[in-house]
Amino acid sequence: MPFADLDVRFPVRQERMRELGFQDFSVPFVAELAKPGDARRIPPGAGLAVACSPDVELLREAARSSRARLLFSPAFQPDVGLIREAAEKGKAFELPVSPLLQSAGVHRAMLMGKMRFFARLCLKLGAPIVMVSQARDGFGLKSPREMVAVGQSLGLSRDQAEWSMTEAAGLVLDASR
Amino acid sequence: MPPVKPTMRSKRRYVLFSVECESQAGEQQVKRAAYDAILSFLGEYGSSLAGPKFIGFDQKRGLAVIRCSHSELEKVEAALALRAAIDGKKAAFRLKKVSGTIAGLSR
Repeated sequence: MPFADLDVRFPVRQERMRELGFQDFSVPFVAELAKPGDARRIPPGAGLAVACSPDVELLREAARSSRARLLFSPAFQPDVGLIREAAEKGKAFELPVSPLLQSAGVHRAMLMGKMRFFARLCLKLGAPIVMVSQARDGFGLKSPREMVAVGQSLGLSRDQAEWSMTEAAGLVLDASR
Repeated sequence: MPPVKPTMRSKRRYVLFSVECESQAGEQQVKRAAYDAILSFLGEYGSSLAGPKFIGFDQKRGLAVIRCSHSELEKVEAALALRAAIDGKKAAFRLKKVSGTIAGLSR
């Protein structure tokens, strides 16, 4: 199965992604949700859209909306209601590498703990997770092998980590086209 | 002293990785960064289990090799992947190949 990085946040050449081992990638439309109703303001032709908010209620609204295909909770709040809703609507959660690269020491350790618990809940409740780089420059890009290693340190098995970048990512891409 | 039996020897893996850095990095800098990445990610106890040993760095090709215990390979890979800087300059270690022998890395 081809690997895909669904959230690259800078214009990157396709050859560069191929060198790293990704057959597909996307620079998505990122919707920062600040107030109720923001999820409905995502343009219909935006392609792949990521709904991002620290507010669980706004993310729930985005999970119900048909425009956002990916959800991102920067604080990785383990809200069972939100995760259940996303699982029912077939929306996937992002598990990004970039916040780990930007943090260090005890902050990284705490973040990893949150991400690990969040990923475990998603797997338990049946919400798909998609490992993404969220890279803002070339140094933030990671190869599939590196992402799998990071995924394993977040409690995923090798198969689950690979699945999150192949089949799960493929389903999200197909739904957004 | 009698030799250690082959079944008692610890199994090792050699990890080949390339170094991308904003500025030119020397062998000592890469070595320090790799050890620091593993120590900060795995801690002292985890590092003792991983048993990392920096083998060398080819500055021309930007390739480095590190040895570790095969049981801790995934953790060492994650530690290297999550290194974001060398001496304060933006950098990335890119995993290329893993082998049980150094010769296997060049195949």
